[in-house]
Amino acid sequence: MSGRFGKRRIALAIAAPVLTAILVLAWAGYTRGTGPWGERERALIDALWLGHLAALPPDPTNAVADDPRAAELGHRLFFDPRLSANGGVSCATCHRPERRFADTFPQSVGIGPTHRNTPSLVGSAWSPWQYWDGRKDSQWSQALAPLEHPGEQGAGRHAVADVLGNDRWYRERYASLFGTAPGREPVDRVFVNVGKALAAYERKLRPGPTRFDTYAQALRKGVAFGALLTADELAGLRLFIGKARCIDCHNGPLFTNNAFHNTGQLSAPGELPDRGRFDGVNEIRGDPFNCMGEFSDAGPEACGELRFVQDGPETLGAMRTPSLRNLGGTAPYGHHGRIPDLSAVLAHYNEAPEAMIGHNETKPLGLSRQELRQLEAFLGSLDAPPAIEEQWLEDPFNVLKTEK
Amino acid sequence: MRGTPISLLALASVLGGLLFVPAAWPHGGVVEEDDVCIINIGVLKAHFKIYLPRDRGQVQFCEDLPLAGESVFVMEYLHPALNTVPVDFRVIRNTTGLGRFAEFRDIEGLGDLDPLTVFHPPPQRSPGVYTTLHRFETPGDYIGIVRTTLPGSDTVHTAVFPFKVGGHRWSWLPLPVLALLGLQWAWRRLGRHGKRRLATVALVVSMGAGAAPAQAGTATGQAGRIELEYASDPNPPVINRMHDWTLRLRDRDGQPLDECDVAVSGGMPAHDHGLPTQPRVRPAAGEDSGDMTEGGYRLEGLRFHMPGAWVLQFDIDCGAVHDTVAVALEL
Repeated sequence: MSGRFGKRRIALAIAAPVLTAILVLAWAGYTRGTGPWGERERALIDALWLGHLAALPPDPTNAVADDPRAAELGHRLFFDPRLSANGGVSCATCHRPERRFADTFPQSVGIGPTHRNTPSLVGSAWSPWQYWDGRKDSQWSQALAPLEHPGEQGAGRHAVADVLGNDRWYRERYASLFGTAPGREPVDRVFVNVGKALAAYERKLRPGPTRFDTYAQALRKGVAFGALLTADELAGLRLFIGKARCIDCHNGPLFTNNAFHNTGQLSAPGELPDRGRFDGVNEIRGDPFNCMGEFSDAGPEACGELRFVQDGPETLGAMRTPSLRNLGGTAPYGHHGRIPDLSAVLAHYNEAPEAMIGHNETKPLGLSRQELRQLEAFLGSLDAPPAIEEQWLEDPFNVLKTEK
Repeated sequence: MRGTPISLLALASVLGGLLFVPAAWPHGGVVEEDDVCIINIGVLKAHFKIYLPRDRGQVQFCEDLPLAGESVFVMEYLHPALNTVPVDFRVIRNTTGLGRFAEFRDIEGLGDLDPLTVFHPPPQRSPGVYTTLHRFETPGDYIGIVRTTLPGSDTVHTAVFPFKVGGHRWSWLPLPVLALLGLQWAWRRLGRHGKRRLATVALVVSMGAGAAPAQAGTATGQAGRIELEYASDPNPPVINRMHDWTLRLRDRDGQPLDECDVAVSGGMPAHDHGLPTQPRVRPAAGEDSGDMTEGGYRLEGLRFHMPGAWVLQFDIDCGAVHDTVAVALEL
């Protein structure tokens, strides 16, 4: 009996200091790597919180932007494959609802190949520019381009107008919304109105709260516990707002400044280095569907971004900063989809190679492999489905079939 | 932990340095100046580099290519005249027998170049940068020829540069020595970078967070002739939102200055980039904007797309008085 008791005491005598040492070391590790935030850091984290996302910004160039009837019309147009040259490609082919309204191909694949990676549409209402190179300055004007692009839907505006004119549901909705039947309007006007209805739908795609937002919200209330994010994620967050300087461009509640930056990405095989914003500026200026054009529902006073657009040499090879809120299941990354996964993206920024054309604005970061892993872990906490009622994510044509 | 990426970086720098080595001997129209490859098209200069994106990723080559394959030629124009003229680029097989010493006059001696031509895209007028892509099928000796003519002149400006594709059988010989030198250089260089990075991190740490601080004040020109009073509208400015500033110009005696031309430029010196928009200044005298009625101007179309240290420079021309006023902001 006493022998057993003695053994237990010895075991306790050994275990207690070992356990204490482990706890002390763990605590030291906790406070050093992921411990409490300073005031400045709390403010930086707070600025990324989704709760700060402003109300949907108005689009004065689109008179039906916030008309629910337009969103309903746009929802069906978005999923309608008849708006393509081969009858098989809709907006939703590349902007897949279950993939954060992006896809998994390096470059978008419509009726043919394209040159750029499909960007997510979630949150695009908050951006003054659309596309990687910002060659469109409104959601409605962007929505027009794929309908005619030879690699995307390739239908042409006449074919689009015909689809609307020959479908009773479309005809009635269109007439009630725009006041005239699609057959009685000039084809360009019908085409533009299709874009405006699509935009009314796309405006509803608001990013949903992520695990990071839960943490940031708790932090505001002063009740954030490590458990909401893992130690690696917290360490990654610290790097994100500090040493890794991600927040320089990926700032605000959408994790993007919507500006154009050259980050020195490699050209795609068989293609010349992408001039990006340099060409995008020229395109938007000559675009009849831009903010200053006759199809815009606003006057030039609403076109500050276009009137004061930067076209200097720094736009060479520059691309729009993507939001980091829709990364889940949308690999590969980069404007050409040449970067297979997030660890490769981070390795690229860590190295910051000289740009093939123009000038890489980023500088080498000198992050260790562990730090890169922590950053990647943090990015994993930024993913959530869009905050929108389920009905808007479904293909209305499937719903129609089931109802029949 | 930190040792691995640093030594990898050093190795990459060394390799990068080595690949530039053949260019250390200037020949033809392409020379290396201060670690940068320059092509002299007559008197017109451009940065010159070749990439093998499929095989060698982002490694730059100055002239000679280590292997045959898909090659992207890049000329970044340093002479603005090149932005507006068609530039003709051609690659021929080097049959001069002179190897890397072939020059312009040797090309003339070849007569008709077409039978020797392996690549000759249509002339390109491309502001800022010329890019073209060619897939070399076989290693060997080649000559690149770049030609252009400026408007209002008959002079043909030409660059001729012989280069090798593949087959450096002897070129490994100086490698060990160069590797050591390169390693030493890379370590020192990295030290500098590290320090600079620390300084930038310190700057970021010290910067204000959340809402940007108020931006209003007065600044005097470099020549001391003009005083600029400014206030952001709204104040403080919101990061990444288009906004205006109200300005007021006064001379040395405090008299308001009207009818001045004001040009605005600026950016973030720490990031080597300019403003994301092209803001403009217009006279706003008589407009209802507080006391900014006399000598009043409105700066429109301003947007700061990230927090940090920004600089705005106002070049002010009031006819009799000129001055340049710099305003430093911490957002």
